[in-house]
Amino acid sequence: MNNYLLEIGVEELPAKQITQVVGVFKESILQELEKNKLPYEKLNVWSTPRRIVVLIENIEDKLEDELVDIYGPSVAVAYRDNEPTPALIGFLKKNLSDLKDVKVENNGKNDVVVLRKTVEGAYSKDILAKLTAGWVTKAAFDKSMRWRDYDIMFSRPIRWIASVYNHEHLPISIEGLDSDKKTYGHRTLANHSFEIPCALDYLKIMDEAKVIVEPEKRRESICSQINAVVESLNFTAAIDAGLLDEIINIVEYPTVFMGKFDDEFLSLPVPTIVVPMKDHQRYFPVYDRDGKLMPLFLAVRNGNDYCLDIVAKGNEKVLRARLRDVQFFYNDDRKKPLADYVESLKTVVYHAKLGTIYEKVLRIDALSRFIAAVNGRDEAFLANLNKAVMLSKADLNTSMVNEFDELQGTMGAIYARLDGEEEKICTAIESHYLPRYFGDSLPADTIGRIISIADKMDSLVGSFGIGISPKGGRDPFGLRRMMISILSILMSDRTLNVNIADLIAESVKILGNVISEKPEDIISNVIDGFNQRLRVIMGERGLRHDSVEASLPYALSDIQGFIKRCEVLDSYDRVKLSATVTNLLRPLKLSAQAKENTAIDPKLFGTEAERSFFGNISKILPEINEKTDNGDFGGALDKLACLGGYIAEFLDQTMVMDENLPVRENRIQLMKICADTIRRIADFEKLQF
Amino acid sequence: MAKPFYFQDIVLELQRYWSKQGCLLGNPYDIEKGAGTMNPNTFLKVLGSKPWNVAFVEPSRRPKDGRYGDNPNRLYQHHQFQVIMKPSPDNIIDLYLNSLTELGIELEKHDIRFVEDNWESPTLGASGLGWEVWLDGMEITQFTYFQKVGMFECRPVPSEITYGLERIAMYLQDVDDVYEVKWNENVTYGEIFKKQEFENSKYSFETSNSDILFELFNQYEAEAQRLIDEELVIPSYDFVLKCSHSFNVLDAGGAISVTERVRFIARIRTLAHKVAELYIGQIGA
Repeated sequence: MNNYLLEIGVEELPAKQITQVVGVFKESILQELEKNKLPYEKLNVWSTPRRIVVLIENIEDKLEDELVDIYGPSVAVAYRDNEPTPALIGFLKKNLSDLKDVKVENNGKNDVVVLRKTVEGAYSKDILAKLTAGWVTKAAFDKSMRWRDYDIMFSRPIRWIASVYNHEHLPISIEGLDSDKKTYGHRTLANHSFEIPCALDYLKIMDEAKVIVEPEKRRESICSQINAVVESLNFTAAIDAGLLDEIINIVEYPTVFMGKFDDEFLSLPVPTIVVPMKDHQRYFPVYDRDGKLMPLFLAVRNGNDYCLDIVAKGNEKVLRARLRDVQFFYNDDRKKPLADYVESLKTVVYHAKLGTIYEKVLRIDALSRFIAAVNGRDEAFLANLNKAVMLSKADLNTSMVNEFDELQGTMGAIYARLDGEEEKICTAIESHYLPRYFGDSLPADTIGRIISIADKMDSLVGSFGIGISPKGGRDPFGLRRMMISILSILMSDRTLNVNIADLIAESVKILGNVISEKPEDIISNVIDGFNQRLRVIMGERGLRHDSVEASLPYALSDIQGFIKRCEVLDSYDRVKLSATVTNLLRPLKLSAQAKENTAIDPKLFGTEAERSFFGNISKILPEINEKTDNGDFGGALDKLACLGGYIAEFLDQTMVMDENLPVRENRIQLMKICADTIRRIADFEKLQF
Repeated sequence: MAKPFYFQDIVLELQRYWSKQGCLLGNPYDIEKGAGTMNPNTFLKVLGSKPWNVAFVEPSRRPKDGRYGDNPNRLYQHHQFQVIMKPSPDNIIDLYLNSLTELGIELEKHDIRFVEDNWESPTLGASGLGWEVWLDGMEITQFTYFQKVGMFECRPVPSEITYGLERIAMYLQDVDDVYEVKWNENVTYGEIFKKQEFENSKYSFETSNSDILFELFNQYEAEAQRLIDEELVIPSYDFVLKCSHSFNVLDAGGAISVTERVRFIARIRTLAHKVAELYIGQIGA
């Protein structure tokens, strides 16, 4: 059995992307190996900040031999007077075969000459030799760069390539660089080259080179070191998964250390300590068993524990300077109440064409009132809502948020609390940015939810209104995410009855002449956008595509009804549903010819069938409508089966397109009142059986 | 040899080291600027195919960062030590790390990290990929492989290393306040710069006359354009730098709104691009 190692040596890769990019890289290598039928047991793909590693274990020498039929000329062309023609001789020559190897087969049309040959399986080494050069620059990071005067591009310069098949060097060349059997050690612990005598020795050599190649091992090591430290103190550490993932991709040899900061900083609001620690310095905060923040931090050094106290001291100094800044910002901000910052939002531009943040706040206010009015909220509620809206963006002009924009909302709530605002208002200020993605938590209460919807709808409609909309893979303003956020609030919160289509129209009205595109275009584009998001959301829930399509026309006016429709159509007995729908299609089609506002005239009924049909539907249609109105779509479908029966029977015995025009119109009207009721339930023509 | 300790010795050591690596020792350029990148020894010389290796100190003015001499870290004017190598040698990172060793920073006693940071200067139409280099959690250097300068692609690709001299001195001297840094045995950073920091902050934030500055900006812009038409690279570039600095002072004084800001930056970038275009045309690269 054979083993192959490829190590791509690079300068430090962007840590935040490595995990995702290397995951995709591994997937594409798996596919290539499968496509080329390489017989192997195990593919490992690992990465550190400075290397991407592919180790393929237990590879068979070669692929199995294959019997292959090679088709040649037809018999008519291959032989003349039983003698091989030059065409046949040429074919044999090309395939290195003799006349005795020739068989004749009928290919369905003619008798043709066939050679059945054993094709020797390719050598694994040869397959790899062809593939591996393409892997060197395959990992696709967000941005790539050039170096020296080369045309080749990658996330960061590629400095070495190790390519080893068993004990052998399997050469690869890229522009300006040839592979070798060498790797390089940790930048400070073993900054020199190491020979790789054999592919399988790789991990052992990297041990000597002071590099933990497997990301999972670095992760485990960091976690267990952190736990050892905090458990010995009876504290806990908040190990943020995203931060941990970034750190394992910044270090090749992780050693955890603890640092301190002065107690005096603990009087600052906790988020203002934690954010600079986590987001800026990449430290893990430490809490006691009651969840109280301790004046400590845990950090990870890229190296061993030699002189760790120097590293800790240096980091403490940096954090001290940062917290001094925080202290300065905090004291500066508290010189006036949060409400006093609202006025200054007039100087903060939200978007050149969409005006200042202050103007946006006024629009959010108008749109929030609209939502609250639909839901019949009282004066006290409206007063709180208005206050929360006006304060919602005030923190954008505080020193703290100017420095740490991730604290927007959080600072507003903290300052509002200090000003003695009601807790409801503070929570709304903090949480109106939620949810940031589908499945994220929602704003804690109704006020926050209404502001969240209004804020995002204003951004959405405003952007579409000045010609900015998501195109293909590009959505620089996160407009799709805003749609998803609005939908996830309305889908989970049954108490908010908001007609999204009305809301879009209202938002267009409020934006007024701020927007330049045609209102009807904006509305239809935004509606399309929402419908598209709903298709994706429901598809991910595993609902049938046609159930979603049939329910979609009702979605934006009644999102809860939309969900119920989808679910009912999806779980309803398919055979029964199919039978019912078959009976419904004709009235749906015929009703298209109906004149508006024409009443049914029973005097024009010519047949008993017609009279009894009218009697039946006069009874059942209101029953169906009642169920639909109550959201009992399952019950409505049951009754539709019965209506379908009446319709089938009626159409069986009656010719709708009667020569007598008033009679014909009367019959079409009968179809139309059926269709009107059917259409309130779902768009049945979209169902596929 | 004793390791450098005083601010001026750090500069001398870096000059000695990079001179040994084949860099020409340049000087600061005599017009106000926000970063060493704006020195013509960087901005112009990284363009074109001719190799170019240079190292120099650049006093860099950032009016917005002025803190009246009160803040232990932030300064109206700080000092950058800039190294440009075109094309960038394959072992440039090792060369850089060795320079830290020469400064007496024993790497094995510290934590050195390369944290992704893709530098960009919208005023110069310049961008690149690289890192902030962290020493025990503190950013001490910006390292960039230039990809574009003056909106022109850099071929071959230069590397730009920008050391923050104050940060490094504070670290080596183990002081928390930049004004306590010893420039030499007898003189502190504060003695040299505190008054200047206070006065320049007071000027930028309170005393500057925006009417005059707007007027100057317009005149500098017009003059830069006239000199571009006259095909005079260096004089026109000087006026681009003057535009940039007057813009920075206006910005610090709060005279420029967010939208106008973008427009001003675009005006400077357009000029920088034209100068770069003129220069490339003249050197025939």
